[in-house]
Amino acid sequence: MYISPIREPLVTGSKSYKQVTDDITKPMDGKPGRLWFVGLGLALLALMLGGVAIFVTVWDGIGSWGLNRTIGWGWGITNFVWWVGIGHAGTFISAILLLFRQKWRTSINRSAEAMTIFAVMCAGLFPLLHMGRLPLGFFVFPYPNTRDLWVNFNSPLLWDVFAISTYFMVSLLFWYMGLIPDIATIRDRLKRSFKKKVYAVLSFGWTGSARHWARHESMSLILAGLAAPLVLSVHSIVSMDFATSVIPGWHTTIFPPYFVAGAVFSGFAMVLTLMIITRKALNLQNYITVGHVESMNKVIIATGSIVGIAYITELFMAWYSGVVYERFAFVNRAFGPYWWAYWIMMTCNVITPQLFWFKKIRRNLAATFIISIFVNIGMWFERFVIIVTSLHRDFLPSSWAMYSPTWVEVGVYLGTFGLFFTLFFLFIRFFPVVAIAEVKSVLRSSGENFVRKGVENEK
Amino acid sequence: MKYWKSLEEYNNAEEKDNAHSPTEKRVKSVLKSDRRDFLKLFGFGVASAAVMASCERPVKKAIPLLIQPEEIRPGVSSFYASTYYNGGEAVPVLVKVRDGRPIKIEGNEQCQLTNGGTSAQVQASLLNLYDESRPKNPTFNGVEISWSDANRAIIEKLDSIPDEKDIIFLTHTIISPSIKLVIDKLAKKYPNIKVVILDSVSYSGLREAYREIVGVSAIPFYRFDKAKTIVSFGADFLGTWITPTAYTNQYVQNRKLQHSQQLSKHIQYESVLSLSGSNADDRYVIKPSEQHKYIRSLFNRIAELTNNPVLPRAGFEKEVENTAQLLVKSKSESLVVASSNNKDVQLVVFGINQMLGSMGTTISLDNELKLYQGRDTDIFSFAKNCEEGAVGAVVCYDSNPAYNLPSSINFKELIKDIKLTINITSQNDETNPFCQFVLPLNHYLESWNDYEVASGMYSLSQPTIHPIFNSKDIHQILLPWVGEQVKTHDFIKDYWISNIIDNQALENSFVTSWKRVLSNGVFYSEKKNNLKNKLLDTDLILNSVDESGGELEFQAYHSVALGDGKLANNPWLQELPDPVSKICWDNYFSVAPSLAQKNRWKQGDVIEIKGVRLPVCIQPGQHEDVIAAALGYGRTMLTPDPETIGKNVKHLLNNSSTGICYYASISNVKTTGITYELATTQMHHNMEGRALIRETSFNEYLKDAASGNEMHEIVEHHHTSLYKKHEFKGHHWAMFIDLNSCTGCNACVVACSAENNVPVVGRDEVRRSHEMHWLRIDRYYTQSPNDPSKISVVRQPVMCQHCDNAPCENVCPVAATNHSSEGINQMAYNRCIGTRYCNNNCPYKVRRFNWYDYTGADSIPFNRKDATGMTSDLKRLVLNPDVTVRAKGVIEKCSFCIQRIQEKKLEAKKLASHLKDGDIQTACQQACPAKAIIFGDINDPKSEVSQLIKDPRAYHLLEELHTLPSVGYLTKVRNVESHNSIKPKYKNHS
Repeated sequence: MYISPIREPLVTGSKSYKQVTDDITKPMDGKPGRLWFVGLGLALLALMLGGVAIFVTVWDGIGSWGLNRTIGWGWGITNFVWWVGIGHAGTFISAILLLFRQKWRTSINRSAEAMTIFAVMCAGLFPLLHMGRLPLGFFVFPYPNTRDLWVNFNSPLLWDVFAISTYFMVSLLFWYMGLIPDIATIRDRLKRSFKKKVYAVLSFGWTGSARHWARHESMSLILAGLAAPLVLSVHSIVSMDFATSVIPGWHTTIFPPYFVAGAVFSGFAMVLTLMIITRKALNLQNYITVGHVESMNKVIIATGSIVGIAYITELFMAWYSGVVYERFAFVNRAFGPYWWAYWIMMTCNVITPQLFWFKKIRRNLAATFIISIFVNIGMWFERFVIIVTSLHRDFLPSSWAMYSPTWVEVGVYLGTFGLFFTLFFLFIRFFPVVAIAEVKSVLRSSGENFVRKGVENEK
Repeated sequence: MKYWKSLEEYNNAEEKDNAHSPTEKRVKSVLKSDRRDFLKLFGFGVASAAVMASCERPVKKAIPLLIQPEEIRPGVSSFYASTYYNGGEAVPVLVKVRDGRPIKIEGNEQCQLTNGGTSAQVQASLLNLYDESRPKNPTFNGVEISWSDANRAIIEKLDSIPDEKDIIFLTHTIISPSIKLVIDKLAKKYPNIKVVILDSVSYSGLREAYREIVGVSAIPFYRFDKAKTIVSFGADFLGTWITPTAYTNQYVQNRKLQHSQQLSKHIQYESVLSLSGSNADDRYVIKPSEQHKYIRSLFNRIAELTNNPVLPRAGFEKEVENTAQLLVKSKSESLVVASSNNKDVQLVVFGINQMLGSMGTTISLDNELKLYQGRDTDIFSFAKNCEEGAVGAVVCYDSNPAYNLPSSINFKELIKDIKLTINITSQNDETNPFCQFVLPLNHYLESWNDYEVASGMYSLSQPTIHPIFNSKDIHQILLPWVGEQVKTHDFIKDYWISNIIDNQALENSFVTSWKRVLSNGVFYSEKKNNLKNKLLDTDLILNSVDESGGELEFQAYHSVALGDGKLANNPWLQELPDPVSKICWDNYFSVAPSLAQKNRWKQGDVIEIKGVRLPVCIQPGQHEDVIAAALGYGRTMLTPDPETIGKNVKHLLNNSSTGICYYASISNVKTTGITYELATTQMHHNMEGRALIRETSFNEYLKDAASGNEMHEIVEHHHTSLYKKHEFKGHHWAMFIDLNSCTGCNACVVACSAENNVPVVGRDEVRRSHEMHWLRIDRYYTQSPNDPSKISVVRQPVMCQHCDNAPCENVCPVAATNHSSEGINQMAYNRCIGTRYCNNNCPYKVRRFNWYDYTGADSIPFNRKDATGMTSDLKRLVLNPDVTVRAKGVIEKCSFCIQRIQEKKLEAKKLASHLKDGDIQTACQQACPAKAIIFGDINDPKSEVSQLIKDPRAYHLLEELHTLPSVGYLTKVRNVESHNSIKPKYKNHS
């Protein structure tokens, strides 16, 4: 296969197949480092704080949050949408980029998918916790019952239930599908031990036969085909929680594409934030190269610009509609009591990502890291702005109110970070962070030695 | 090395070393349980658990009554006529009694004074019945004693008092003819008994002025319903002045435009924005000390216009010119009232009314109000007598002198040398610690009583529950002192039959006129007062007051919610937002925005005046040089934890020995640097140019009845939908609220809370905007806040609008809120999981979420949040059994009193008749003294609501959203020259 010599190699350092396996499984060998324990400890601490906050929420009531008669959703749903959005990168990378045959995805898809699953787990907590009567949460499922009760299929919140659970299930399956060959690899490298037994079970008897590979490939494609529309549908449905309402600032048809773009935007930012640290900590610079970072930055600038255009379109539509409430809602966003949230959102989501037009910044790891954090913050504020500033001043000025979170809400949020990182730390310890088999599949075409060979041939 | 006997043993031994041991085998077989064993054990376990669980329970037997009392039917409420009287206004009521306990108070529609209206205090007074802090037993120096011991000791002490020493009977105004008879009997036995009336609010000046004119102390019968022009100088007759419930009812007769094209003109001169002032057409902001000058100026201008002798100029003749012209124009149909407690000022007011020909038309002396008979000089001379040692005994009857005496008199010092001190009270009040004997008095719902509210207008009270504590009514307390043992009912009945009615059989021998009166609750006799007023001699008032006020003045007023503070122990009233400031749970120094700006005070900054520290509330519409605060605060609420609410600001008033004055000049206002967060239910006071409350001027209204409401037609025109409109085949319930007659008195809010078991959440929760009221009254200011005279106030009661196209209904994931076939937006509390999505999507923000377990309905232990003691066993008796008590985590909201609709529908069904318009009255509608709320079936072409929906003034709130509400509003029409407010913006969809 001909590869253009100007294409950057996807794996640097002229790796052999064995080296690839060795490099990627290295973090799983031996005793974990001190840093790993510190990280896990901090994550567990946050998780415990979250546990306490969740206990208070359920035991005392939602009153322990800062919500009130006017603002029914605050940090809880903001965090929900934020986490769901973060999850989107994984599915986007593994499903859509797989369908588009983008080879660079192979180095990052594993960890991005893991992030998806953990993020969706964190996200799923919030709709549960924000319910006033958590023990009766099962009412949202259309289960047969003797009381002839049925759910309301008109409610976007019910669509959420299906969208999120489907998304979680498909993402989990997809992730696990990809893991099977790698688990088998690990199994085969281990000496007789309990660990080996566990990996043996987890690998489902993978032998690497051609038949297995054929099935694996076709299953991956089927799941990618299933997951690809989910990337678009999940956040579209989440956005409909707002878009189908009557509240000015929520009642907008632009929301589905705007939310999906925003989700991919924030997802990639989170992948970057984590990967820039992980590649260094786990010594994977040869697999997750600056080229990978640049590719992701390109996705960020594309989606970031879509989001920016959406913000401006919203403002234009509010003005163009001539609706007093609509106009007020947007003026209030920018210049009302929560102006700072709006301008943080604008700065972080629209302005700073534009720096990626410069190749130097795009390829600079430190700059990318900082901007990715900015995007994470900005996207959190986007959801906060949409939810809180729209609600706090809606139709009747008599009911206008202010909102600020309590320690309980902050605690639950930190708790989800705890959950996310606890799972992430366990993940990097027990599973390969980069998809070994998939990287190997591109090594012959995009490995440095291969690309160099192409250059030599050219000469 | 192994030994073995057989191959089997050898093989077994391979697996386990001592497999050949017989005991091991047996143990194994025993331990191995099969399905049958499991079932045996399981069965035994369940059976024994059931037996164990059932034998511990004490057996409780519900024994039905052998002879079922005729009136009490389980689950069916009965209504008893009674009268609310607490020393202030008297309001005839009906008490709803369910399974032996009163659960709601309704207005008595037989009463011509109130027409079935009530006030917030009347509605809330029910809760004081179930107050745990009431005195439970008679005590002597804090030690519980029996009634007979107490009576023996008291009689002994009374007998021992020498004749030259007075026995003071210190009471609030007694309007009960039978109590007066009891006191007469006491006076016969103890001739040295003296009745001193101590009212919590003094109307001494008004009464003394009429003493001058008609010869006896009197409050005339004002007829606001007959007045075309009403001028009030500081008198908040819609909120607190004398008998606001009756006055509101009268006032709105000329404010309703549905039936006539008449609109009265209301002009208010005041220093602080009051409820009446906020309803006035024209409002002038004056200093309290200038009031008498304005009144005299008005007198002079009217005298000039009507060719009468004038008084010396007072300096404000130009300012009152317009008012004088208007008054003279509507001569004999005008009414001028003033709040001043100064006799001379009230004489001038009388003079104005006389020149205007109001006597006999808008002011009647045929009936005189019996309320507030207190005379300030009596109180000061009582104090003097005490100091001189001329008093042998003080018997306080529900007058709470330790709190109600003017601040210059120290009650504790006053009575410390008095030999016998008795406090007869139904409350744990401030006087109790200082009196030897504390005798618990019945709540009015536990007692027989009778009242003469105005001359010839009688009403009765009857007990609706057996006394909860060891308390007695006043007759039973006093009659033993004169040695009489007669039941109060018999005593009152005998008195009535011999003095008020002739007890004759009406239709049959069982229906006597006494029984008829008792069931009606009110009785009107033909008896007239033949008071004749003489012409005012202007010389009499020449030596009128001419005190000049200070640079900064303090004005004390009574809040609409708490009034004189007698019901301060009432959580319903404490949580009731003030109709003007929207603040609850505290009093505050209210200041004008300009004064606050000058002193750099912000809302909640604590300032100190004469040692009284209170937070600042910035109040538009107030005079720049006035600081005001509500009286009736600084009382201690005992349950659940003792807490003093607000501060008593009485000390800021100076009392001369001639009378009590409700304003004073102050100086030296200190900023403390402390801030205090006031609990408020509304934080934004500007309508932002939205067409929420639509108003117009009377002139424009006469030209076009739809003026101000032009957008209604446009919006109706745009109501098109792809979807088929839902049809309501049977009833279709709807409500209309006349914004022109609603004064914002808040009676509906308390009525709603009482009817629907709405939780009280307490100050901290209100601060967090967690209040639970199903019905709220939105209040907005229009015009610039910098010109206090120009500012105008609009109000709008908002409850669930029961939209036929409800945004809340389609977003609930579990369909917990849905639409009934009769157009009611319903909540299924059991189904609600508390996502609050409906609340977010409600454009009216009328849905309320149970943030905590406020009611104790939750099954999780130790998480109850009851800051106000509303979930105690006793207070829970007030709950309406027809309405679910909501648990933590569910949404609740107005249900259109679905339980009342259902009850009346079933009644009609049983009688096989049709529901008539007006059969169903929601709690808010029934309580409204202005009758501003109308409820009915819009599918019934004869109903009032189906007429109102065609009214050109009718519109729906946020109708442009196409929510199709079932609640409608009628525009507000002000009697002003032109309406210069900005046209609201309303465009919703291009």
